[in-house]
Amino acid sequence: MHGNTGKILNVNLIAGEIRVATLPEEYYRAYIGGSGLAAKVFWELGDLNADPLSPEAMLIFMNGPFAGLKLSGASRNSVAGRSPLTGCWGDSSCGGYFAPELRYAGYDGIVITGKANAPSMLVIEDDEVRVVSAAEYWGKGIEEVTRRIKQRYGKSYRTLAIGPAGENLVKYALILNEGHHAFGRAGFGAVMGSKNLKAIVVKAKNRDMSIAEPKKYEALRKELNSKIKDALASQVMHENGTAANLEGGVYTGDVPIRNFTSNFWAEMGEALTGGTLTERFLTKQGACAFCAIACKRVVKVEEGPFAVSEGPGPEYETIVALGSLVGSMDLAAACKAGRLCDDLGLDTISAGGTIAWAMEAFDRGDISLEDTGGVEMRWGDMETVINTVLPSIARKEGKLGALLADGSVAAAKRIGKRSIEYTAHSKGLEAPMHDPRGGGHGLALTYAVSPRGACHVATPMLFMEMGACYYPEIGFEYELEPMTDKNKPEAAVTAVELGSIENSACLCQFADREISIPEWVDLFNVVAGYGWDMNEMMRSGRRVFYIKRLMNHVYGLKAADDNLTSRMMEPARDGEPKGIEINFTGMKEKFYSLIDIDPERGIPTRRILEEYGMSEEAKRVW
Amino acid sequence: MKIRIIPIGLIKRFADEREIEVEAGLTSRKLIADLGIPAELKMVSFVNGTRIDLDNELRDGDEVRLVTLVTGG
Amino acid sequence: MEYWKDETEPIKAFLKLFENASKDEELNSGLKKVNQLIWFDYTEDGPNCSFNVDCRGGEIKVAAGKPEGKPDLVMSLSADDAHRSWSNKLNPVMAITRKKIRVKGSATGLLKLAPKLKKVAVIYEKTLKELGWEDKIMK
Repeated sequence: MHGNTGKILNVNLIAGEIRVATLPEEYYRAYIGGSGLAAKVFWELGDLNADPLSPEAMLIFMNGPFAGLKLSGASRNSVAGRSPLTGCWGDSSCGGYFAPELRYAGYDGIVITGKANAPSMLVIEDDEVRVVSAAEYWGKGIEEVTRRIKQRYGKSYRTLAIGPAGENLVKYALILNEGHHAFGRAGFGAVMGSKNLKAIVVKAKNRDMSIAEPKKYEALRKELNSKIKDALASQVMHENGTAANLEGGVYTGDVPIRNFTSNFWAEMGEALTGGTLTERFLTKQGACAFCAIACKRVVKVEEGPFAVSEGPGPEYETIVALGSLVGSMDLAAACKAGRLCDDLGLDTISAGGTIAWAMEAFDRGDISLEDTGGVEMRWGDMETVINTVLPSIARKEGKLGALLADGSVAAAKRIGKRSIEYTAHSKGLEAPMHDPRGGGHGLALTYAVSPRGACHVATPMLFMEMGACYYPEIGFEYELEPMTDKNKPEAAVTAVELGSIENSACLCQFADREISIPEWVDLFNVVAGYGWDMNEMMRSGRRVFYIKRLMNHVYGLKAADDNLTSRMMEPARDGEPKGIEINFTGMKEKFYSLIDIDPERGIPTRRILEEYGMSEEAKRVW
Repeated sequence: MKIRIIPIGLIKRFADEREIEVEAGLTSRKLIADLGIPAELKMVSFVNGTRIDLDNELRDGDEVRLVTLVTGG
Repeated sequence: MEYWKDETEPIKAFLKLFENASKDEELNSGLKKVNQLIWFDYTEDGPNCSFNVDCRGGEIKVAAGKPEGKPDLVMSLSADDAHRSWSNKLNPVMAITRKKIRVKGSATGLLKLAPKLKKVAVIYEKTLKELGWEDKIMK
């Protein structure tokens, strides 16, 4: 095999048994790698009905075919399985440094089942893989654990770790690489916690990789790296991070405010935008392995109630989720709250979304001091969020922790009083910080049909809406107008296919903006020897989307679950999108017919599954 | 005629907020090109707080906010 | 303009380029497959700076200026970028994404010929030499 190593680590924590296995080569060509390959593995080998936090649950880390390459954006990998937050298919993606090291150590992925009988750590050193005690780290924050693991083993050992939130099974707990890069969404930190797995550590002796056509690859790599480095978007993000144009997003109504109740807040724009972060708090840029863009931030807040030492800083989602979404325009607070979530091990998007819901509920009187254990949940009160709310959630402490630790949907169901109507989610996953009413109506569609729930990185739809995509080779020549439904279903089909490719190849969407369709095909062929043409590549993308849909069908989801809460679809009350309706039903119907999804069951038709070589899969659902 | 240009977000790297003297009949589209803002950026123009078509003519005393749709994840 | 003295020069060069290129069998049949009325619009560099190609109905007709009927495809760009394009120094798909080339209509058919730009660049170089414009050749 080339690119991929063909080897998987199977770890059973109950028995302490570790085996190296190989996956059938056809799996790679059919499901690409990353979250696609993980879905196929889960489908074939996982216990689909196991509770996500039970010992039987299967947890999969999977690289894509490009892990380890010195290519900007190729540093990512996926974690996947059944999400404890949503109860359906979940996957999450992370950049940083873990994926390349795992590849160099000789593995494409790690499949973990069972539960260790005491807090443990998985240590991978090429062929030597063992489970060791993590008793000394249990209960500690991710920052301390990461630092101490590196002190013990070596700075070049790459780490994945959970925090107290994961240990306490908070349903949106995350996993951090190097204490900075996140597997943020869908609660896989809790899955690790439920297995008594505090950390995974990997170190490879060499950086050997087998490339199918080394000379051609070298030429392509140089070309792509140069394009990626020189692109305007890359330079902008290098300078001011992913929130570089947050202020612009306020004017277009893309930035959500106070639990999606408002689409314009003039002063907040300048206060939270990337340029302001650079001016006030940035100490240096950070990067994922081999990436020339370096969009990551390292910040220091010198003084004030939100002072924080030099360390990982917030990206766009965190700045908004712990900023305007909860009614705050305090950038220092967003830095501190983001750092706290990092250390406690909490997904900032779900945390912000859950807290925003709670603030609205408190404002309306749907929850009282009785429900919150005496904690006032007021818009913009970041001191309470940082000092009380986030720690309570992470430790599941008190009434507040118990109420909010399972996410906004569970909390709303518990409270009742129709408070579910002002949650902002799809399939139980809190929506990201792009309001479809301003960011683009196509986003409403792609949020709703994304297998893991409301997600803006499952597809490049966001980039399509801003005019950054042009793929004439596959017939995508649309100039999309954000606040309309025109061409959105057609765009969504391409978006879903390409997005599945991106998330299975595990390439960063900021870097792969510069990669054309023929170049994508070339990469797969000269690195991993997939022998694809354009058509086969796009089909594999769609196949990945299909298998995740089938997984959700097993979990009882239907077409009706491809939905967004009314909060995000009712016409905006202010700002650019004010009064504009989203033609959600129309777009969804058209999308289903274009991509052959049954309008009731929400799964691909038997005919199309057979056409995609998925007749075995079809038998399980039709 | 005199207009005030107010660059928003990442447009600040192409222009400063200031008053400028321009020819009558200038449109936002031409203004954007004249300022050297790369054509690849999808632009929106707000005049005196309201979004207008890029090909509408600007008028004396207008406050023009120039916004691009580009955003991070 | 970096490469041209006035608006007539690029049109002269490109008309001759198409004349020479249609003598190549592969390019000839490839262009006929595109089957469109295409307007190459460089009018940002001068009101007469454009030419059109009618490759519909199994024929190739090239003429200066805007076409009579409504074009199926309009590619608007600067004459300098056109020079770079025909010299195979400017990737057309990337140029379209970057809005260096503004497209009206469907460019999918024409862009299928993009891989042939390497060959076209050789013919373009010959064309420029024929016109005594060796100094314009991009290295």
